[in-house]
Order: sequence, then structure tokens, then C-alpha cells
Amino acid sequence: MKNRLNRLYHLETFILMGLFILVTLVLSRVFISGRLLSQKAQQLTDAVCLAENTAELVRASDSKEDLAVLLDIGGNAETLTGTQDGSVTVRMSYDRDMKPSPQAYYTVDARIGDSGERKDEHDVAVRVYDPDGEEIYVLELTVSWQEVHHE
Amino acid sequence: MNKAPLRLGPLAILLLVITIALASLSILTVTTARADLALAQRFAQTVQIRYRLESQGDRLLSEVREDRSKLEEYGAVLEDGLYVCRLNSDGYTLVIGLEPESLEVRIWQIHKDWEPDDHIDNLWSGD
Repeated sequence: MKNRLNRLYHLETFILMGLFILVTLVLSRVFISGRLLSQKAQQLTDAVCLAENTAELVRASDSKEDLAVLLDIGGNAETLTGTQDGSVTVRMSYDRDMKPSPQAYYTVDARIGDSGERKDEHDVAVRVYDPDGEEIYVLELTVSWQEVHHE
Repeated sequence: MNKAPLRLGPLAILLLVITIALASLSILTVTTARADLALAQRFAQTVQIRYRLESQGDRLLSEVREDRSKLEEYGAVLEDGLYVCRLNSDGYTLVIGLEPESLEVRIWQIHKDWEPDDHIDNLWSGD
């Protein structure tokens, strides 16, 4: 009789602990998914800020050369040329705190191409990438530069 | 020697309380994170619309300064002594006010179109 009670007690404890572990595992997954969503939101907000900052610098500049100088803060920018359509891409890198840094956490590409509609008009696409190289955000705008310098 | 009997009741209640607390916290975490993400996506979309409108406004300005007759094409109307043009995109409107003579910018405002939701279900119309 005592042995049977003992066995039932152990069985009940086992079931109770098993259920608790199961629920804890499920809840851990829920916590992790919340963390991932929060991280995604943070990255998107950072990306929008970086794209906006870049777009404002694009609008403040007068030419592609001027833009490359404006965007380069402490050697975090490089200009990529040589594309067939004559577009210029300035690539910038920022750390996790969105500070200019040669070690990239966020990579921002500002691609300046000629707009087909007007001579002085340029289509600019600012793209922000995460550390895995996945695109987080794109901001497109058009700027008018009276004096155009082609490489 | 009398041994106190081991009971699982208090332990079960304790684990139940811990589980309920964890479940509530996890639901709160996910709800808050989802709300954060939704807000961030809305912000991102608003910025895209704002820059699209600003680009259209810049184009309007440069075209109108080159050729004044373009004002009509953009549907400019004379309001309070200014040529006012309205550009719309995704529920947002950019209002541009220009001086008639110099075409200097006097108004440059972006706002969201808002219509009051005055439709109420199950309300007797009085007929």
C-alpha cells in the first residue's frame, strides 16, 4: 500500500514537473519571438533615421562630389563608380549606435542616378542594410542639381 | 519518528502561479513588441510618402519657375494672394503657396487628409 502511494506520488510529481517544463519552453519561445519583433522594430526605426539623415544631406548638397564629401564622416564612406548607367553609389557604414564607423553594423547605400525626365534632376535611392546584408529600408527621392559633374 | 506527509498541492499552486505570471508577461511582451513594430512600419511609410511628396514639390517648383504656364497644369488656384498647389499621395497632401510675382515659396506644408468617421451603425435616421 505504502509502495503504491509512493509510486503515485512520484508519478504526480513527474507529470507536474513535465507540464511545468513544457509550459516554460512554450513561454520561452513566446519571449524570444517578442524579443525578435522588438529587435526588428528597433532596426527599422534606426534604418529610417539613417536614411532620413542621408536624404537630408543629399538635398543639402549641390553635386555628386559635394555629396561624397558631405557623407564621409571620419572615413566611413566610399564612392563606388563605374556602373554602365553612369550612376554613382556612396556606401557608408555605421555602428550599432548609428555612429559613423569603418566597422559596419548598418550599411547605407546612396545611389545617385540620372532622372530620365529632366537634365538637372537626379533620382536618389537610399538603401539601408542590416549586418546580414538584408535590405531593411529604402527611401527614394529626387533632387535638382543645376551644375552636374560627370566622372 | 513521525514524518510529515509530503503533499503536492502547495507545490502545484506555486507552479501554477509562476506559470500564470510568466504567461501574462509573455503576452505583454509580444503585444508591446508588435505595437512597436507596427508603429515603426507606419513611421517608415510616412517618411517615404513625405519624401515622395517633397520630390514632387521640388519638381513642381523647378518646372513652374521655368515656365509659368505650368501653374495651370498643376491646378494652382489663387487663394489669399498666393498661388496654391496641392499634391496628393497616399492620403497625405503637400500644400505649396507661391508668391504670384516672384514665385517665392510662402507655404510648404504636409498634412494628412482626415475625414471624421460620422457613420454610426444601428442609429435611427429619423425617417
